[in-house]
Amino acid sequence: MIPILERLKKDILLLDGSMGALLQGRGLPPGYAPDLWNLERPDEIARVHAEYADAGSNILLTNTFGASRLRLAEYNAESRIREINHAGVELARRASKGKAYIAGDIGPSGTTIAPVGELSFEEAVGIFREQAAILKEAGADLIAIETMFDIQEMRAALVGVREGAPGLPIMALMTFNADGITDSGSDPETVAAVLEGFGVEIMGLNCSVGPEAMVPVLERLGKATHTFLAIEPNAGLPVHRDGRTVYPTGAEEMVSYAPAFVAAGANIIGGCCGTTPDYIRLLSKKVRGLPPVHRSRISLTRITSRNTVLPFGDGVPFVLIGEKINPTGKKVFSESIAEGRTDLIVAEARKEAAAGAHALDVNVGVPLVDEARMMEKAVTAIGNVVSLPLVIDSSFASALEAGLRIYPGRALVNSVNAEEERIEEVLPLIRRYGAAVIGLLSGEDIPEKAVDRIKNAEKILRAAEKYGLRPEDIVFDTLALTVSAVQEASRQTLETIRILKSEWGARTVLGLSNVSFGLPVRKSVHDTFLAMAIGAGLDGAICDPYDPLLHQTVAAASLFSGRDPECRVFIKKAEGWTPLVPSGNTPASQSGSQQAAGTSPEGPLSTAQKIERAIIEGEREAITPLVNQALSEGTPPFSVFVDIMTPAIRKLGDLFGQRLKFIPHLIAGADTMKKGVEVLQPHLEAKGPTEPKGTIVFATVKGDIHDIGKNICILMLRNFGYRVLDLGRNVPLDVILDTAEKEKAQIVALSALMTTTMIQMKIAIDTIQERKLPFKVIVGGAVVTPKFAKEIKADGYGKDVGEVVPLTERVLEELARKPE
Amino acid sequence: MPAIRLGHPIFFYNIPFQIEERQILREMRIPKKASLAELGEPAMEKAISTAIEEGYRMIEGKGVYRTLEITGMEERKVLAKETSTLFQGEKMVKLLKHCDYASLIVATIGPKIENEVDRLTGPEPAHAYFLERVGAWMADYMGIWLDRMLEREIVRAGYQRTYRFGVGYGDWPLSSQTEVMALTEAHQIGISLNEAYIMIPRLSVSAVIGWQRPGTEQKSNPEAETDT
Repeated sequence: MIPILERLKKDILLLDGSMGALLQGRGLPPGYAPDLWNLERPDEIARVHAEYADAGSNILLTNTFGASRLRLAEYNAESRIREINHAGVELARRASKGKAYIAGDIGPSGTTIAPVGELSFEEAVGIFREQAAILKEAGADLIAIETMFDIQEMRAALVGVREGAPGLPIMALMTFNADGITDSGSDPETVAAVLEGFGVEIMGLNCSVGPEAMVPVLERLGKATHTFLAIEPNAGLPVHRDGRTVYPTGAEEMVSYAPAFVAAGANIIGGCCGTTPDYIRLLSKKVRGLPPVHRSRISLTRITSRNTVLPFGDGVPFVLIGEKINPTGKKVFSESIAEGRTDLIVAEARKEAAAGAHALDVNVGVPLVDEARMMEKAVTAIGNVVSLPLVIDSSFASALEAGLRIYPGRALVNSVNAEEERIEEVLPLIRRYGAAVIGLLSGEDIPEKAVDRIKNAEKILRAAEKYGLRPEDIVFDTLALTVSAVQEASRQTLETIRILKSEWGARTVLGLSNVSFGLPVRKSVHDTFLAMAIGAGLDGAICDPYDPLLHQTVAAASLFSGRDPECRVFIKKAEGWTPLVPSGNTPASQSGSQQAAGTSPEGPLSTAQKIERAIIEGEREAITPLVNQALSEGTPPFSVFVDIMTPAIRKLGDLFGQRLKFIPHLIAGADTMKKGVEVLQPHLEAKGPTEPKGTIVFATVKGDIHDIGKNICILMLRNFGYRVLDLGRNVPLDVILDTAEKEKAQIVALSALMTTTMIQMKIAIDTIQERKLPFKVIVGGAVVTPKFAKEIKADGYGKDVGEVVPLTERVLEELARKPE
Repeated sequence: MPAIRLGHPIFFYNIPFQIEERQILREMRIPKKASLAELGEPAMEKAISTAIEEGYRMIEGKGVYRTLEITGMEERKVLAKETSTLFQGEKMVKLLKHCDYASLIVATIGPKIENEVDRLTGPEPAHAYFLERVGAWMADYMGIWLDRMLEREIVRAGYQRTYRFGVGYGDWPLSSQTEVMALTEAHQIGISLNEAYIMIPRLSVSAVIGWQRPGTEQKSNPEAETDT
């Protein structure tokens, strides 16, 4: 037989269909491992293979989908892994009678892979490597990795299979849901870029949904890659009927989608769950003799996160790589890394993403820090909150590898240069993990002339080819040298870009910030250089995404470099740079500045009005200077509290009642008032003790540990001049009642947030009544209802924080009216 | 078809997340606003966005689910291969009546937010409130993330999911948390119980979802979808 990859250039080949469904028809019990039948019922397995071969299958998948060590362990059969996989290949080979290719079939590990899952990447690699090695040894013609839901598990499988079965072609099939994405959120374009990075020979999709939903996914894959494509649809989504799993789509209907598969670029078509030899027979008639659709090579470098693809190259947007996740020259940032923290890294990543970066450079190099461990933590933490692709940046191969291993996408590595030692430690990593790499055009020294930089590029490219990498796996950094030191070198940088672009069709990037070092007005210098470099053909820059001028420069330069057809991007972005305000109108933002300046449409505000506004708007930072200003203007402290702040918070309460303000406003207003009262406190205390309006003992009931609502209620009450004893949460009833007695409280306020702890309120009220204690009891909390409050005979119920003050006032008034 | 993952819990760490402003505003009961910018109140926008950004730095989403095989049904009890005591109550029987499997899910955002809320409660109560609301929604978010992950597995196996029923809701006693924690080995994602069966960290959720045979759909019960 001619090698399968040669055959695929001219023929559409057929896979087989479902193995499991046919075995169940032959008595395989539900839940039993089909792989074990390779040893227990080999004749049945061989017969199924033979049926598919007779029906027209050109490729038979071995019955080894679940024959990895981890999966076999579920049946205590892991010690038979070798026998089972060997038998799987031999049975398929025998049944094929030399007429079909044998694909050693590998399914998912049955668990989840780090960083999201529990199995470490290297453990997963080991599991796949072991099975692939056995399948190769047994004589498989290719390895099929099937039904992968998570791109990270596919990555582990690809590493394992390449290492375990070197030289065998790989068919890598992901499973997409009806919405066109995988369980782990990867779309077809991301999957294509990641799998191309690993150089898989055939990629595609199988299982899960029926053929109809798979057509658009295959079409997207076909547009995203020139690699051979394979598709294995289920016979529809399964349903359970009468204790059996049934696949609803019949063979004829299934086959009706074959022309669409071929048109989308399928080179291999088969079936997954629920499909039968009848389907393959009909399929064979339908597609036999049809030529495969030719798809042209895509000459872009593509990097990805788990769910986002970023291309570098001609005709696509210029790439901005944020440079800010780097401890160089940042003391606090460095310290946080030294402490093993990722909070500042995450904050910076979020900021860079918000500022418009397309990818993020991640460098965590701090002296005496375990950089590999920190890189793994940083890459994981950033991936949790930002979906941008990452550039893994380190001088240490160990840190690069740690980042690449945990990264669930196709990273760009920063960087390799033309030094032998660096080449030998970095390029094998790029190959193993399917990454892309920045080729820095320095060597033992930094060449000044373009011609010498190109020599380094040639050296890197040759070495990359030796390691099995493609030109598209490299983005060259043409070296932005400091213009104040060597002016000619910058001109040579531009010349290098021109040569690489026009003669090599290569992709280029620059670390931008160095170029302006030592000069004033640095941003102008490097933004101008950037525009010139884009003109020369530059594809991306590692730069400061917080510089607004840089974004404008890139957008403008993109107009002249074929990256912004019809100027659409520029025009859209320009709206954000200069708000389009009709002449004579006041922009909305000005009302904010008017407010900040302490004015209103009617004129300047008095200090009292400013205090009122600060409380109503929750301007916590403004209140302290305003209260001090009121005092310095001669307003008595008591008057500030009673005549300015208290009416303000009441007004806020009224607005809440009218549903013009909401709970967060009440809380922010109360917090602001509290801060203002802290300024007044020393002045008020100097005038002697003041009589509180009432004493309240407040607690979250026994068994309940939620207290945020209670705390906010207390804040409100204190602002209104009540004495509140906060007993905290999970408070035993005895403690509540003892405190209330001791402190001569009028009210006991109880909070509960769980249906299971509400009952403590009833116990409290019953006890108070039994003991004839004088306290009124008010209750509240998310699960407490007016009905419940009434049933347990509470004296008052507050729906939320907005009701706590009026409720307290009402209860105290009732108490005052009531004769002793 | 990938096998139904039975017999052991499936763990998830580093659950990716986004904190949606719309959801946080909903959590704070601010109606009809989909974004902070729509509030038009600079101080409030700043306060809430600060809490959201802190959330990004503090949240560590983790979860676990374990699928149990249902073996029988009694009047007020559902029996599973792994437990005959966990699924109690009439509502549970109603929920799982047409199910072949039931999956327990437990998720958390870790302890950092609630520790910070506790610290801020005295000195900065508004900030504590905003952060707590972010945490409350995100704990739900982690539960929903697990729920969706599980739902795909359920559909692929030819079943339909039931609604999510929280431990402690209806007549399912909160004391069942002990068994839920044990079966899911929730200690591996940092969750323990206090003496009142409340999960620590508090910003955690636990629930059960049934694998229902098609054609036996139950009406959804959004109220119970609010997990413990």
